[in-house]
Amino acid sequence: MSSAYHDEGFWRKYVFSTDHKWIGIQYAVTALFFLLIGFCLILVMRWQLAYPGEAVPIIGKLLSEEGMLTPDLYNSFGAMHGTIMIFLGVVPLAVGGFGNYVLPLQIGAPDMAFPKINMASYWSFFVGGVVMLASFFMPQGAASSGWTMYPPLSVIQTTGETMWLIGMVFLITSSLLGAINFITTVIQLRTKGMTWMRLPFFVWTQFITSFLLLLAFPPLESAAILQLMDRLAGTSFFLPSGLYVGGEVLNVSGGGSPLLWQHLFWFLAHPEVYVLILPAMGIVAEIITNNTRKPLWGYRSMVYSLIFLGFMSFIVWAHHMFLTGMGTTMAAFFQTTTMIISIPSVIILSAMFISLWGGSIRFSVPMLFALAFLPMFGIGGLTGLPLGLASADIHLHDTYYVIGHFHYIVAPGTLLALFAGIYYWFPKVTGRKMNDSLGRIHFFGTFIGMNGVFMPMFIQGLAGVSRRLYDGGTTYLHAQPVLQWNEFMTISAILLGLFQIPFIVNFFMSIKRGKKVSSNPWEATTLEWAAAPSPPIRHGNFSSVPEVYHSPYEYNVPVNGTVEEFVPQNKVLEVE
Amino acid sequence: MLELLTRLGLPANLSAQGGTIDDALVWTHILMVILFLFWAPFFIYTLIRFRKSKNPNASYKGIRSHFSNYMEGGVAVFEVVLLLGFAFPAWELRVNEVPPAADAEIVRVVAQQFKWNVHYPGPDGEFGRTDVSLINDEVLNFIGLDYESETAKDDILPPQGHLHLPVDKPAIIQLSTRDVIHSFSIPVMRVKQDVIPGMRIPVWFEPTQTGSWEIACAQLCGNSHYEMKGYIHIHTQKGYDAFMDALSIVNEIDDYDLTFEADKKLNKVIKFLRAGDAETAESFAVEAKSLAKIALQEKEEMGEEDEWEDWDEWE
Repeated sequence: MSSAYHDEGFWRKYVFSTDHKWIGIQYAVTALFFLLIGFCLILVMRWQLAYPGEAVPIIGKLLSEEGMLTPDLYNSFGAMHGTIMIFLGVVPLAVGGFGNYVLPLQIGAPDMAFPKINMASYWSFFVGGVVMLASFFMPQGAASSGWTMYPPLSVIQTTGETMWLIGMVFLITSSLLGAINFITTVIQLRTKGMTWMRLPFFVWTQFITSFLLLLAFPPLESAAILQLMDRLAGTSFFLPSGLYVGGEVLNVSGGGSPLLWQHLFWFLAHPEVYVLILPAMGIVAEIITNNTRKPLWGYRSMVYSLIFLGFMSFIVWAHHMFLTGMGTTMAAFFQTTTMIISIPSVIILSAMFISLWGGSIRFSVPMLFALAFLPMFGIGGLTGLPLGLASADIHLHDTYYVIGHFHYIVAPGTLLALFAGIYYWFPKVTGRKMNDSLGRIHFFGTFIGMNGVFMPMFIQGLAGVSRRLYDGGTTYLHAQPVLQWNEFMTISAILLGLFQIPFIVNFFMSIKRGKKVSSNPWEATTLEWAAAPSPPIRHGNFSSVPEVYHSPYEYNVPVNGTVEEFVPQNKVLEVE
Repeated sequence: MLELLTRLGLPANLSAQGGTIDDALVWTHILMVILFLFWAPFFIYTLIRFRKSKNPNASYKGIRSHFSNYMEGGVAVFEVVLLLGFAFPAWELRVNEVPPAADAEIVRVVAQQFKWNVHYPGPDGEFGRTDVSLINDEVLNFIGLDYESETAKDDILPPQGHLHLPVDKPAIIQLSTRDVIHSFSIPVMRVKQDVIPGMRIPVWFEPTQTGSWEIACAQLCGNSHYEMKGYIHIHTQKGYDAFMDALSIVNEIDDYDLTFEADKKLNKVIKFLRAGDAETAESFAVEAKSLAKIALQEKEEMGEEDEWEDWDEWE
């Protein structure tokens, strides 16, 4: 298979590659870079929250003449932090990176179904990212009305908002191209014997995630274009008449509805939450089963829960909008669906907890991250309960409680899982292992740092401190008893940043100098480890097409009176 | 549990309807604590007991019991109780069981970028006509009130950002905005409601304690969002009536030289409400009212003189 690609030049090989593995690496490295940028933005913001009005050290001079973060910049940084972390960091890493690299390998496919569309997906993402970053250099700065871009504010704000919308169109296009590719690949390119119930759980999560992307993103893409029209072509899809802005009546035809945008936005953005979390669950499931040396407990119910979760995620969106003047019927419907969707999440999480029982647990670096994911995601999920009940949401809506809640899902949740995935699949990509000691330092620093940043947010939120306040609520009476936490959170964030240095060093050093390992160092059963060399063959993956004989996680199988330590999916298990 | 949440930072609830919200907060957090107390020891125990050095051979089957099904069932039942017992009734109370207008204080609040405008209908109980084309910040007509309209004559517009209400009486706030989305939030009253352009959304609550608190904007509304703070002053009923009467007369006189003394007393009212002394505040409100009345008399007398003076000039 590889011979046809023998004479690829530099550009075809490293830039416009159609090999899913290289595209996966491109995605992952780009996304890690964006994660770092998004983190730096929040560090500057956290400085301002802890020490309002004081000059920011080191980079202060770049921000303003006095060296401090201005309110306009604060809002820009806030909006771009959210956008970058979600759309340019976590999703591209989880889906574009891990999905691209691992999924075809795990199902025994030579590549994605549409390699050129795969390449187009990456480059569309890249352009979207560049447009987003470029918006910082627009005359009045980047978008500054939150990552949710609620009109009318977003329509009357700076030119950066236009860039945001254009960037978004590219990013969504990229996701759609990726989604159809993943879905087709899973349906069409499973190798012989890879039945649906033999798919590794990671493949299932990517498969469901792709449906979410495919069905939820188009409404936002069209909404983004509508808002672009509102900004550029004088339409009023989201603007009512009679607005008074900047000393005069806003000159628009009116008749639009700001709530329409919120519905279209959250119709994407709630499934998007599951796009952020499902691949993470997949990674954690792979690592837990591998490091407990036993099958995943309740695999089938996990798969059914996953499908149900994917479906339900489309009918909970308006729980983000309880306070927009919602009547009882709507509120009752969305509260009920929100409570229902918590059940499959509980089932999946419980199954992973229970999978640990009876295992022979190896505390490898990926396993540490995967284990930490469980309670962190648990905290994130549980704190979603009061937010999902409209009445409790009255007090907590738009406070730091919300910020704490979804960061527990995405940061100590998904990000820890993504780190786990990097440590886990690094030997597959490079043939070398990352350093264990540095990995452990990275783990404990990150785990403690993240909790130090996000746990106090629940306290501030209970006190009623609003989010998105430039001074962190310094002037509000109700915030006074909990303000001292701001400094604590900022110091935790700085420490969290410092503890990423061992990771960055480890990552780059290990590419060339890491310990060489065999093609299956974790003694795993799934095809990417069992059937492919490390790194897998360019354009084709496997030297011979693997055939699958049984379910994905056959560890410690009792056969013929003895116990097989692990039985790869492509190995025939002969039972007498 | 409520005590625990309060210790963590939850401000005391000072409203009659807010109890339902605190109930929901309390019960969801109880469920959280139960689940956490169950899973955390399980997790830690499992990690220790089944570490590789202790348990070198993993079990193929793992747990055979179905306790997790019962637990998931338990969570589902708990959630049904939360919905039917707390969430649905609380929303019914908020949206449908609004106190009748006759028993409530009805006030309009118009948000604008970084300020809250408060608009009282005055004695006739009807709000004057407003129109966006009449908005003129320079003459302090922030909401575009049409002073020509009959119903607008007695309307009361306190200084921006100050909402006055009587204690133990439901207040219905009709929220609207003249520019972008804001969110009207009073943590101690357990009130929060987005203010959406093009809509007028009512929200109601019933203060149960006199005093003075803050109104926050909870939805990002621009670069000075963090400064969009208002104040809510809860008077005794008598103090409130006197305060509003005084304010109405002062507005009518519209001459700071005459109302100087009354204004001073009105400021004292706010000062004492902040200090938590509603009785003193009430007596100052009553004083302010009588001073305002005196000022009004003075103006009327002066008015006659003025006319004479004018007449003289005319002559």
